[in-house]
Amino acid sequence: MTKYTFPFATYGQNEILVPIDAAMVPIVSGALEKYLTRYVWQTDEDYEAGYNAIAKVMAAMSGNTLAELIRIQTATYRLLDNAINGTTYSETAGVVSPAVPDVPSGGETVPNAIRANVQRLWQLGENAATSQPFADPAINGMQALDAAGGWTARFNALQGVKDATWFGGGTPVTLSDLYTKQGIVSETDEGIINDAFEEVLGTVQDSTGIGQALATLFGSAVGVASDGGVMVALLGAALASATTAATTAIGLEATVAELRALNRRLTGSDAAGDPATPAELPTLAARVGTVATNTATTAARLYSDARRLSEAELSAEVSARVFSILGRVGDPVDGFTLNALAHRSSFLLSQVAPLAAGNDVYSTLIAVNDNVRRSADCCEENSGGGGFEPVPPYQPGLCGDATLALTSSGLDFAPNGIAAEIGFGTSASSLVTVLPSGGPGGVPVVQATDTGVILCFQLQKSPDDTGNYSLFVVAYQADGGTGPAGTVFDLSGPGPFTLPMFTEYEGEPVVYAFSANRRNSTTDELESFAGPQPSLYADVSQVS
Amino acid sequence: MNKVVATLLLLLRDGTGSPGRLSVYVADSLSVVAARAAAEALAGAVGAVSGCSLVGYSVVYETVVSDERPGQSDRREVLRLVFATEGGGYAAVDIPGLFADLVGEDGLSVDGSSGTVGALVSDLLSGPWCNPFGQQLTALLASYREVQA
Repeated sequence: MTKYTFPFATYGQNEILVPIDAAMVPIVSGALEKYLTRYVWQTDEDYEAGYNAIAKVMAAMSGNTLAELIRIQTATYRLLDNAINGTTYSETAGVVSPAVPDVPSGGETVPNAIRANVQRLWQLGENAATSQPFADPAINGMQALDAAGGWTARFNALQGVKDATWFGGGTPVTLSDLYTKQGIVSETDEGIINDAFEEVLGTVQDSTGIGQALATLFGSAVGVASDGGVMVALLGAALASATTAATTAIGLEATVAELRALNRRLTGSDAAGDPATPAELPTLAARVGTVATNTATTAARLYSDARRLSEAELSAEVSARVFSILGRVGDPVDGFTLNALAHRSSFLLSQVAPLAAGNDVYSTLIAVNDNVRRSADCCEENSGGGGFEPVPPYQPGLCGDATLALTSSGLDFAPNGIAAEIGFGTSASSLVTVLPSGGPGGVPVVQATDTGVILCFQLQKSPDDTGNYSLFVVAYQADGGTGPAGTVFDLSGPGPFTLPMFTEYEGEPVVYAFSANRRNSTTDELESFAGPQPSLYADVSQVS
Repeated sequence: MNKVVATLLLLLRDGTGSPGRLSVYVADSLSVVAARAAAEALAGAVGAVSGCSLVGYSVVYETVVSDERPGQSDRREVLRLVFATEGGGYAAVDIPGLFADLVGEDGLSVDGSSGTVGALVSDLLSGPWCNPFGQQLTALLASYREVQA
């Protein structure tokens, strides 16, 4: 008897589906019986593999595999039918209904059907492209599409429409319309116009020249009404600048005349009136400040006009000086005291001097300024009718009390009128800061943080402590903020001390001293000091 | 007298193709492994004195006869049980003379989880039984009627 060998090489690679009628399964399975015995196989390995393969076939025969496949296929159809057509299936006592039809329904109105959704998307697309409105009530929950929401409608709404005229209109604006409206015929013409503008603004010095240059340079490019309008506007601007310059010159003459009158009034040389009384001095001085500011404003306007006409003719030096003046006197005059105003006037004159040397206006302003100093600084001493003292170097006085307190954030300096007089901010934090261990031996250092501040602070330990005194003097340059940040004097032993405090304030010596007569009892604010906790005293006096 | 529990049968074939047989008996004190080793040794000794070829041999243990009355069913009707075994194999167990009332209306199915069939399946799964390759039965895969020739 021929024995079988098991097909190890090809087994498990492919399977075939053999339909066997269920009634034939017992017979077919019985026919396979002999393959479960050892004698039909060549070797033990063939037997084991063949036995398992035949037994596997026998096991599959009772599984009704084909019916399971058909059931799964039917279920798959119902799944797709539900998704695509929206058909709803139900099961009652193992019977699923509706039955699978031979022809699908193809419904497009069931809300959850893919067909319905696709139909809706198609409607949305056509609505967007053509603004065609759709209202399909058969699709439950779907609203009618808005015709105005379509792309066509939206684009039409965005584009402009020309006004209707006798010749028509009311039509959408085209790019050609916009191009014509701009009056730009070609890129070549545009370049000619730009060159003309540049030439006119850069070289022409008077209105006649401007007109001639415009007529020459525009040439053939000035071919439309709009371009002609531009030329007219340029001519008008040139004429207006010339007129403004003339007006400014007239105003400057009036200013000089007023300053002369004020000078005569202050110096008592005005034959038509009495010398100014001390009571009148503040008013007159304020007027000087106003006039000075107005002069600066006028100068600025004059410069601006001159620059518009021909910037090239104004030297760089003159420009820098004028702008420097404008920057110095740009603050409101009303915010200054008499001293500050007078001092600024002096500074203004020093700046104007190179520009107006030999001019009568300059000498007049110098005289006015000297008298203002006299009035401001020496008003008490010089008002007794004994005549004016020689004008001392400028020394802004201290007309108010100052308070000094050490806080956790710095030295709280409340100078009252002082800061206002010398023209700086009154914010304590903007004036000074305290470096807790910045001085020699790690002692605190008081530093000025703003330009133009000259401060001296004497710090003393508690009265029952006869030990060391520390004096911190901050001498700070006001000139452009380039001076030293602070100078520290550490004095040992009991005070008082002669304070070597000198500095420069806009070129003239000024000395202030703040000595102690006020105590800050907030001890926790003094923790930054090393050693025994000192108290802080401060009062104000002037050392000159 | 020692009880005989197994018979060693040597299957022989002479030069004309006719079968011959040799039967010896095994005492109950001999294990299956020892009986098999003894059969191989005996076959070698027989070959030295006989011109027959050895077709094969078997060790058949004692047959316990419980009822000698004729059966009630057709011998061709077989209950086929197919099990899964450990190691991924299969085991086919056929019970001849299947009662007709155990077969379903389709003429094929036999419910292996209920009634007497279920009890039989449980015994097979819980007992020491395995397939021809020593793999223990683990689960019933199929139970149906089979018709043998």
